[in-house]
Amino acid sequence: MEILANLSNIAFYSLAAASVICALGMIFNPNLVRAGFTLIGSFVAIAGLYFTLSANFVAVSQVLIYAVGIVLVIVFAMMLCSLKESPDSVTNDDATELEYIKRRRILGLIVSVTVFYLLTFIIQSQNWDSIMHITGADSQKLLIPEVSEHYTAQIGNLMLSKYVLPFELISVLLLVVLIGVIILSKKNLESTEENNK
Amino acid sequence: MEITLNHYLILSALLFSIGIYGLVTRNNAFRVLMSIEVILNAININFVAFAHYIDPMVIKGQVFSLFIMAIAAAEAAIGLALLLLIYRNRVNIRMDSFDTLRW
Repeated sequence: MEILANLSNIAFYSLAAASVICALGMIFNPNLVRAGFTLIGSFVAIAGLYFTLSANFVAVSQVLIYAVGIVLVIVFAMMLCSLKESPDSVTNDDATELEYIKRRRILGLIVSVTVFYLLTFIIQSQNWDSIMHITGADSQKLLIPEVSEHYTAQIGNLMLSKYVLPFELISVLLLVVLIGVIILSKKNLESTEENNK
Repeated sequence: MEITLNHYLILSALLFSIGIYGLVTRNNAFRVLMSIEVILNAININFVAFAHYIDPMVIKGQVFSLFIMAIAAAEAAIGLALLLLIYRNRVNIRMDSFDTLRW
């Protein structure tokens, strides 16, 4: 039992470190396409975290939707915009622009550190055990190995019974997005054709 | 030491603030989009962790995280279409060059 607990500790810490390091790499890697691929590493590590939380279906859809779908679409869009000059570097070597970028980095650091400090302060000051007592999660936790086997079936049941309205709204939203993206790109095609004439 | 809910919440707070940093400081619109994806992932970790630790019988958090994933996919598609449109008109995607509507 203790070995099992140690294993889950190692899994959590290594996956958490991998996701954080890859997210930092996404921000600080100067090469844009490589930044996109390090983002895949971050998403896969987060999928592993979902497995440690016994959310198998969410983990698999994380890999399918985020790591494969979204990141690949972003990388392909990057390749369509042939970026010869690196957009993060300064194009004209103005001292004022350098100063501006530096000031913005310092400001961003202050904002993000403040957000992190506030969030950790709030999380630490909460007494989560009392909430668990309200929902009775403590007694239910003993059942988890048997319960978590049926999580995928349970998600399907919830989506088609209690959450059927948001489910349908999401499908309408995806349809709207599909049509919107086609119109956004098609309008431009027509105008370029007219220019060519 | 056992892994508790707090570990997951703090990890998600860390990822969230990394995403905020990228969102505020980076000048490249693609990097800003990727930072938004990191922020959405941090929120998803919160939902799944709450579903596991507080609500293990009726896993509402996992259902919500799936909805968030669908919305993230929609947001990425629209954002990239807009970016390509801007790129065709302006031939760059620096965030500080989108200033036509700024006063």
